[in-house]
This record gives sequence, structure tokens and C-alpha cells, in this order.
Amino acid sequence: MGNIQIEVRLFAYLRELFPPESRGVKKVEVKECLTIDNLMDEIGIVEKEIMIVMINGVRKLDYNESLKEGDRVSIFPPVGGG
Amino acid sequence: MKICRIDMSTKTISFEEVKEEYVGLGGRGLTSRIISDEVDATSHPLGKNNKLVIAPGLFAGTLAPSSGRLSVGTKSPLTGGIKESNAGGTAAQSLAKLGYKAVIIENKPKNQELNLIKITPEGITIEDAGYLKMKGNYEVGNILREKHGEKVTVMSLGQAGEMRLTAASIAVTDPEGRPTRHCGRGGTGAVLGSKGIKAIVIDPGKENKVEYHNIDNFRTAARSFSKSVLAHPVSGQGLPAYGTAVLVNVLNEAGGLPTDNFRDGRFEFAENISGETMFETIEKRKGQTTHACHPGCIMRCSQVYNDKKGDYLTGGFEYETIWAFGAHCHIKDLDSIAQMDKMCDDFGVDTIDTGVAVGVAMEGGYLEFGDDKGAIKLLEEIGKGSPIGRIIGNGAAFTGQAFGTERVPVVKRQALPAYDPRSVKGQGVTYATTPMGADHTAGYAVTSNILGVGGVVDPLKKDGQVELSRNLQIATAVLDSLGFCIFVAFPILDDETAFPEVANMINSKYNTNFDINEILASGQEVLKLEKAFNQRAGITKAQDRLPEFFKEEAVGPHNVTFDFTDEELDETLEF
Repeated sequence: MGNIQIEVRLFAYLRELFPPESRGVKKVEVKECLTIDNLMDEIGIVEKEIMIVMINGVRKLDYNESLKEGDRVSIFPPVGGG
Repeated sequence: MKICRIDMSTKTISFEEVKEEYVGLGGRGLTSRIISDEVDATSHPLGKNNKLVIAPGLFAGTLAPSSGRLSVGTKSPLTGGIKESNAGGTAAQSLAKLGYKAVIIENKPKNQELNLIKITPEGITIEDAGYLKMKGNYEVGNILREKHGEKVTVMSLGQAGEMRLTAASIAVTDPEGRPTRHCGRGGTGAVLGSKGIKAIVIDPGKENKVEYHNIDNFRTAARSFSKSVLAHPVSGQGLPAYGTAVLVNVLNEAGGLPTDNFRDGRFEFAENISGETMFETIEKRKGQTTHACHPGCIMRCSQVYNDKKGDYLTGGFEYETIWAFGAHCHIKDLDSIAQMDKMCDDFGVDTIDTGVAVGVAMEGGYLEFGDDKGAIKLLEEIGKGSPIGRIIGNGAAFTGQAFGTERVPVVKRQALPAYDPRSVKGQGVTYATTPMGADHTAGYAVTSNILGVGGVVDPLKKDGQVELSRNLQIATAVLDSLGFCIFVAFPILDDETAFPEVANMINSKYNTNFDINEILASGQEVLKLEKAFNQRAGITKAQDRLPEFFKEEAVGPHNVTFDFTDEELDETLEF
């Protein structure tokens, strides 16, 4: 089991979970085969099911998917407009 | 309820009872119907035979939440087709309180002149407004409030409407009297200018003619509907907290934020112009992060943005505006973009068409991408009425011609808004097929494509997009007729109790017995009317298309093109 580097990007009020100077963006090292669901737990995101999660700009609905080296993981609370 | 007709050639004002077939119509349903019934589709948009219809929605002035939107209908000088342009602000509620179902402005003066229309409980008068010549909307509002009272609603033209430019808007004041809400799209301001009107002042005083067949039932339904709006995470929490600008980062992550005139789907400086940055900036400068564009809005997605000194700079500072002057032009300074938003509000031009036009001028080599100072200087020319100002003030299509470039993101000569049609494909279908010309609100597929509201449809694939756009276009025609803000669509799409309450409100106000399917069918009728008008005006299926570069140039990061066949697009509004 090796480790992989990923970039986590949090938006709107989820940014409060990271230090303010990070502006919601952190490169982190995680265990290989960590799932989206595990990652959200580690960050401390509650109400996971209402969040919008994108990996490399593609919306993911299945949080059991494993993360890969270099993934850009973007997580939004329910927001919108137009 | 009555309909008022103002003839600008004879300066006569007449009042009509509402025809039976118009009783169930309001907002866009009514404006499109009257334009369709009374305007020859081949008329010149700036000629005496075109008309401008102003109509509040069916729920204007009622207890229904967020129902104060105004529809203005005409034959568009920009698209050459029928147009409904929609604005917030206080005009719709003021007109409804005075008992007006619609105001129809027809004919035009023989000579160049400027007039003011005043609408009060005493009646309607037309006055000379020569003293407002070539003044901007902010100054016009200040002068008119001083003359006619602090509480009046002002609908007005800036310099662009007087010059009858095709991106000219009609400004509508918000509750604080600021001209921050606009019937922006399609050049409605040019039509009002062609009628010799600079401003309309509306003062309901203590008048309130809004009636209900059964107010108790209406109140019950309105309460339940408000609960749905507030319970939905987007309309109840996301919009009040962050406004629409939060979409900068959402679309940037999704690869759908059109950058450098639609060359890329991500902007390296998205964070600088994001909703999060805007929120922090507003808080730091003691502006307002949350603001209602009209009384009775429970979503309050608007805001007040102050400058570095803490003084008011602009309001109603929306995602589409930030995108148009920001990512599209590669401009990363939010203060510069706010300045340009204010200038557009003041000169009275659509921020989308004008922002896109500035990017097209960059494309054509008139200035460099990213040159915010140059862009501000260019916009100043609109207020001066110089030739280059007139070019930009005519919008993106005209500007593209002036600078001889083919990469002009328009449909029916109206500029594409802030979602790339290749990576948010449902929006692309709407841009191509709505009778309005490229328009994001006409069938806001961003809901299912990006936000996961009303189900999930993959934005990068074609599957389900045509049907999604069709259903949303029908539902939107209904909401635009009721006078609802488009954002009530969020709870309606996700909460099955919401739309039946809309039916209950209609029935308890108008003593009708409509079910949901009949209400949706009325949305189809609006679209059919609009399409038929466009056909009579010479707009064929050949115009229900995106510019070819969207089919030929793939956009990153997903490397996708707009790959719908013509036949697929033509199915969208086949009913």
C-alpha cells in the first residue's frame, strides 16, 4: 500500500474546514485506495449526500470510488444561481 | 384589472377592459400574446408598427414569495424575433397595485423627442423630459425622485437606449431606488427609445388593487410554497449567502466557465473573481452580502458591493456579469469588473452582450485580453456616444462584424451567457433552440447538468439533454408568466409538493380550476406563439444553431465539442 498525492478544493462554507490562508485548496498525501467517502470523513464533511463532488471536473455520485494519483477533488455544498 | 394603451404619435392614452382570452395570461404569456396578436412580424423593430408591452406576472403584488418579476415584450432589434426580457425591481408590484395588467406603448413621435410617462392613482400623463437628455440611469433616477417623490419606481433608459443601440436595456429601480435591475437582453431599451420615451415613473401611493377570489386559500398555499423555497438548500441557503457569483468556482471546476472568448473551460484567475472572494470583499468593506431586489423576495440573492473606500459602487452584481467582463475577457480584478457593471447599469446596456462584445473586440485585436483599464475606457465611449461606443453598445454580433472576426459567440445575434455549450450541453440546446436567442434562463439546464437539482444529467454527454431543455423551457414559460423569479425552479424541481401549491395559488386568486398539466400546457402555448412569430419574421430552423466553431473546436479540460445534429436540435420544441 503506497501513498498518493491529491488536491482537495473546498468551496463556499466548506472552506471553514481548512485554515483560512489555504483558501480552501490543499495538496494532501493519502493512502492509495482511499475512497471519496473516506476522504469526506477525514476532512469532516457532514451531510455528504447533499454535496456536489467532482473529480477532475467530472461529477461523481458514487462515493465508493477510489482516488488516484494527481486527482483534483472539488467539493461544493448545495449552491446555485444563474 | 385593466390594460392601458399609450399612443406616442398622438400622445393619447386609452384604457381597455381585459379581453376574456387574456384574463388567464400575465407576464411573458401576455407580452408574447399581445405582440403576436398586434405586431406584424415583418415590422422594423424601431419603427412605428412595433410595440412595447410591459406586464407584471399573474402573481404580482400578491403574498406569493419572490413573485415581483416584470416582463417587457417587443420585436427585438437585436434578434429580429419576439422578445421577452425580464427584470426584478419594484415596477411589477407597483403596476399590479395600480390595477394594470399591461401597458402597451405603440406608434412613435414624428420628431426626435424625449418624454416621461407618469403612472399614478390619478391616471397616466406624458410630460416632456428633454432635461434628461443623454443622462445616465443613476442621475435620471436622482432627478426624478427629487421631482416626483422618494418612493417612486423608475424605469429608465441611459444613453444607449436614447441612441437606440441593440444592447440597450431598460433599467428598473430596486427598493433603494438604484437602477440595478434591468430588462437587459434583446435591446428593449432601443425600442423604448424609438418611442421617444426616456423614463417611466410609477407611484402607486396608497393604492392596492390586488384582489383574490379566496385570500385564505391563497395565503395557505403561499405559506406552504414559501416553506418549500426556504427548505431547499439552494434557494434557502446557497442563494441568500453567496448570491449567484458562487457559480464562478462551480463552473470553473466543471470546466464550463468560458474563458478568453470561449477558448477554454477554466480560468486561471477564477478564484480572484469568485463568489467566495466577492463575499469576503463585501464583508470587509461593509457592503451587503444579502439583498432583495424586490419586496417579498425570500431568497434575497442580490448584494451591495462597495469600493475600496467603503462607498457604494454597484449592486445586482451577478455571475453572468462577472463572467462576461471577467473570465471571458481574461480580467481578474473584481473591482474593475464591478466598475464595469456599474457603467453598464448607468449607460443602460445588457451586461452579457456588452461584456461579450468587449471580449470579441479583444478577439478582433482592438485591445489585449486581460486589459481591464482598456475595457473600462472602451465602455466609457458608450456614454459619450462615439462611433466605437456605439459599436460596443450594439452588442457582440455587431462588434464581431466591426472587427472582422468569425469567433462571435451568438445565437440569433444575441450573445451566449456564462456556460460553455460544449461542456454544459443542456445549456447549449437551450441557447440554440429558445425563440429568444442565446439565453441561459430560458431553459436552465445547469440545474441537472451541474447542480444536481431536478435529477442528474451528465453535462458532457448528449443523452437526455434535448428532453431536459424542452421540459425546462416549458416550465420557465410558466414561471415567467406568473411573475416568479426563475430561482423558485430549484424547489419546484426537487419538492413534489411545491408545484401543486402554485396551482392552488392560481385557482384561489383567479377562481379557476387548473390542474398541473393544464398549467404546463399553457407554457407550451407561449413557446408555440413565440416560435410562430419568429417564423413569420423570417427566422427559420437555420437560426436554431450554434456558431460552427462550437462544433469544430474542442474545449478543455474535457476536450469536448457541441455534437448535436440539426435534427436532434429541431426536436426540442416540436410539440
